[in-house]
Amino acid sequence: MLTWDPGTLALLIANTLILGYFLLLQGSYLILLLISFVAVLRYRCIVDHEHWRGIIQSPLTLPISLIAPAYNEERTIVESVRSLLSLEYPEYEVIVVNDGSRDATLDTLIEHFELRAIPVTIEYSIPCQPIRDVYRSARYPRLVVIDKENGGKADALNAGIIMAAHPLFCAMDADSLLEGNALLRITRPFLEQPETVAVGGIVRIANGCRVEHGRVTEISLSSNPLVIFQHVEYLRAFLFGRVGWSALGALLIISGAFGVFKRQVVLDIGGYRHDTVGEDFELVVRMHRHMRDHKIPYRIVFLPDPVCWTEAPETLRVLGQQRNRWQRGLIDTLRIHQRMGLNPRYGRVGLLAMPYFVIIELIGPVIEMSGYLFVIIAFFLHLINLPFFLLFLTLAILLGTLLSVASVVLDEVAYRRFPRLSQVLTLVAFALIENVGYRQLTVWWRVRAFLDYWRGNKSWGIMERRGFARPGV
Amino acid sequence: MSFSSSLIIGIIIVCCTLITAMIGFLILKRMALGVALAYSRTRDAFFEHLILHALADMEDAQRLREIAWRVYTRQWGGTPGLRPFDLQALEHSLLRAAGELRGSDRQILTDIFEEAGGLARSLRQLRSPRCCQRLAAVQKLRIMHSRGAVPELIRALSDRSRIVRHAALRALGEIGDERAYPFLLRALEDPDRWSVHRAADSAVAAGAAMTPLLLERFASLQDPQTQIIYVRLFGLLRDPAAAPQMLPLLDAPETPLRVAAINALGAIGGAESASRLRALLDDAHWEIRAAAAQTLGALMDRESAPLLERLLDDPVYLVRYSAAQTLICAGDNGQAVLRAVIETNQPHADPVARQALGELAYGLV
Repeated sequence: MLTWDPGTLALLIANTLILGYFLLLQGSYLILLLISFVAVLRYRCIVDHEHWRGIIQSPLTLPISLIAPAYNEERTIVESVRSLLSLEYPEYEVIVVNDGSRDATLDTLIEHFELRAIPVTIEYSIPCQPIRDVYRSARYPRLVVIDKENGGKADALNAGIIMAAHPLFCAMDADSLLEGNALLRITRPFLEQPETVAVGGIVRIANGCRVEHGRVTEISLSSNPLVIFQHVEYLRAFLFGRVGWSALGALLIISGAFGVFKRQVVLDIGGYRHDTVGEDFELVVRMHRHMRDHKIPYRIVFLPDPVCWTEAPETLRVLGQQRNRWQRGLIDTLRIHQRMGLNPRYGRVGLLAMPYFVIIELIGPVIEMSGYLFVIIAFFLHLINLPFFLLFLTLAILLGTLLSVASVVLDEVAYRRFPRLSQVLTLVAFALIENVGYRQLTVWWRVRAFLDYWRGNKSWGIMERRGFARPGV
Repeated sequence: MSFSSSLIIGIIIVCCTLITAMIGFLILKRMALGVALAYSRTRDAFFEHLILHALADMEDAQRLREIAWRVYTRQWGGTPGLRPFDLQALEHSLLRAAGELRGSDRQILTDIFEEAGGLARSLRQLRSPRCCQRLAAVQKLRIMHSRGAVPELIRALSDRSRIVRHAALRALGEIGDERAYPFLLRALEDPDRWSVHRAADSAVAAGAAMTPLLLERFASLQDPQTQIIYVRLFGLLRDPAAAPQMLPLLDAPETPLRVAAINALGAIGGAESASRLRALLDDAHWEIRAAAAQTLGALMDRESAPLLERLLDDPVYLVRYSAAQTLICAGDNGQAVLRAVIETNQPHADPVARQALGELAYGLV
């Protein structure tokens, strides 16, 4: 009879659990990838042949309020606002919310856009810090600048929502750049299916690109390897993660950098929450919950072609802080809405998306980190079958690489954004090496987020911005 | 070697093959694209040159017609300058030029396209079992404004592919042929909202010629959602003939329909509309009060000033703001009302009056 000592038995159980988790992880990624491939190519076929540009002339187009919270953005704010004021869309307003900046953001705006304070009546229908003044410009009638006391991004967005005059609002960052036709593209689902309550667009990395007058005029890759790794990550996250979940009707995240919402629905659910660092994620989950609780038909979708360009962190410290914050936002949101998980009342959101986010996104980094530690311990205790382990490691790396390369291919087939083949091959090369080193680093940051969350850390961290590359720079 | 090791090796081989295949695909795709682009640029330049001359000179137009006929009928043997794949290049150049031209210039190209065999080819293509072929045909016919294709395009409105149906709808709207109007009306009631939008665009493009048909159909409509679409169209068409049918809707039970009717009447204008709208300033629904106040502003109605003054104290901000905006539009009388309100320090009315006057002073109104 075969007898196992407790150590070997524990090892065997751990082995089986990690293997099972690995299969679940890779299986779900592959399924999402297949769904996304079909969804992106099908969508591409539709938008290529549909007259989406007709939205600009359509009498039934819905007007939009663009809300851009700004905090200490004096260096980039003028260019960003200029870019927002020159978008292709028939009717929209730009609301810049100066969230109590300590630098000269407000003064720069006042001077450059010839702003003047206008007396307004403010009804605080959702919570936000007091609004000090509202500025308008006679030269730029579309521009509204709100000056308020500091309260964070969620608070600034709430102030913008209160002052918004249109039925749709677009939440974005003041330092991000929208492509000229991004609004035309992103509003299509609202016209097509009136039950649409929120639409997310793709966020791409602008580091290394040439920017002129607030527009990305030449797409290129940054020379910083850390940024190129993030390029691959963004393609994977947006092109197969969000497209896949959107196709399944269970999209839980719309990036805070670029999303369009029905204003009344957001007002009905009380606006953005102030007490979480993942306010964008939390808002979308709360929308699902509200609509399903009240049995209101709705749609929340992601579109892969309306593009928002953003500046990615260029140092390990800032990147680590960003990933730590994202993970804390995830933990917080899943904790707040834990009742939705495995609850049939919430349909695919409760039965598929919530468990996926808990098992894969939330505890995934912890399991992965445990796996690394376990392997090291087992190696030193001579409890590991080295050839088998190396085979398994190769498989894990190759499957990860396959997913990343597939995202690059999907982007190339559907959108061909990068003008030069060398740029695409650089992305492929980084997709090949991403699983050795960079991935482990992100896992570590995400594991540390648990500790920070437990300590009650609600900080955003610091994002050092260098500004977009300009001609001749 | 154990089964699990063999399995893992198998999967590794599959992964490696897939990754290599994807990288190979990326490289080959880019290379093929480069070659095709270089070739098509040369040929496009050749045909664009011919088109430019054809627009300026009748003889050159005849020459282009002959060359086009040879290309379409594939009888290019012995014709200097023609090469394989020229059909694509010719069509591409023709479509690009026609898309940029208007009036008689475009008509020259449409005639060449139709007479040289382009119309016949497109109609054959429209019967293709392949969706992309049918779609390409519809788009060609739209850009070339081929009136000869209208019956076939009407048939394409029942195509099994949604994309082809939408493209046909757009083509019929742009061609602007009266035979298509009844079908555009039908599309306005389509459950597919995108079709409704495209049909609405086409109806607006067709202009007042559509009004009699729209009014006739509107009289028998029951669904409030469809009625709203029609009412908004009447507003956009600004045809006074529609006003008598809008007035009874001001008493409809559905608030959104009433709001749409108020806005449409505002766009159409007329003295009777203004007097009916004034009566709505006391409506129980705030949406109606706000819409009526806004519309009276758009109509530059000066008689409503005393009624609007009361609305400055309305419990709903949007109503107050709309009333203040309309008073600004009413000229000196209305602005005097706002200044008087500021002096009385009314809790609701004072801030909104200050806001409206501030916006006026700064040139925002």
